Amino acid sequence: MSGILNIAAQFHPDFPPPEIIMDSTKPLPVLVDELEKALINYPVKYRKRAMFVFTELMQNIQKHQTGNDGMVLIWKDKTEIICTGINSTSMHNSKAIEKEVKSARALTDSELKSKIKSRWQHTNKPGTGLLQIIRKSNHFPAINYKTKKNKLFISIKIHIHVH
Amino acid sequence: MSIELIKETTDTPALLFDKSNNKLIMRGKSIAEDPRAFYTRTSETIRNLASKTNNIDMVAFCFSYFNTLSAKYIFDLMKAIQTTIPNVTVEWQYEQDDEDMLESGEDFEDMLSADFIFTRM
Repeated sequence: MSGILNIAAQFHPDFPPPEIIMDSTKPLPVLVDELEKALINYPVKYRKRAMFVFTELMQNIQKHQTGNDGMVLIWKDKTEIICTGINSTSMHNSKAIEKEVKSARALTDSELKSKIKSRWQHTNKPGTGLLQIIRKSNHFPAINYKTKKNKLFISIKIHIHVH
Repeated sequence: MSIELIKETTDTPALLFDKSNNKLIMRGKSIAEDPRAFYTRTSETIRNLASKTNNIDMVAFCFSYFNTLSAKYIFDLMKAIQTTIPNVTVEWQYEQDDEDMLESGEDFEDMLSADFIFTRM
């Protein structure tokens, strides 16, 4: 756990310590319940949006991490909730994520919506969760990489604006 | 009074049958990492029930939320229900102010070319 926290600090040197740290060793439903309690004072719309983003990030981490070295860090204030997923990954997976985000940037809102619906209808292609995150947060994730002890780590940061 | 056909778990919703209102109800979270087995079982349960009774007028979906992996299986389940119970009405329930859940229901309605009833809870 401390190792991944050190990695997280490298990704976010300017940030204060996260308010919530969810590590990938716990079952997802337990983590989701913990997060719901932590965000209980937020309006339903934003709380559920954050829970959706968290669920997608954590499931992605649990699927792609190369050890139990993933986590989601959460910062929250009155204007936004920031979720950052950090995990070890492969070069292949990181390239696939970048490609998905790049192609989403070229789409209008309506095209993005159509692409997601098409995938729901025809396939459960990896990356659909990321497209849904972009759609719901109305924000493109910031993606960064660090290498530590020959291991590649990816950080995916999402801002959820609270109006 | 509702009969519990499938019990709710920490990552899959319950399936209930409200006999007095001829209504099937799916209620809870759908966040399983592999939802296939759950939705296959749900589809079979509904098909079995429909073979025993003609009294299913409505299917209500009441998700607190669902993950992307579940979305395809929810869509497939809805299609299967349309085939098994052709004249059934689909109700999409959503929590007040949960615009994302309302929008998801509208997406499914569009994908199925159906007319849902939307109910704010």
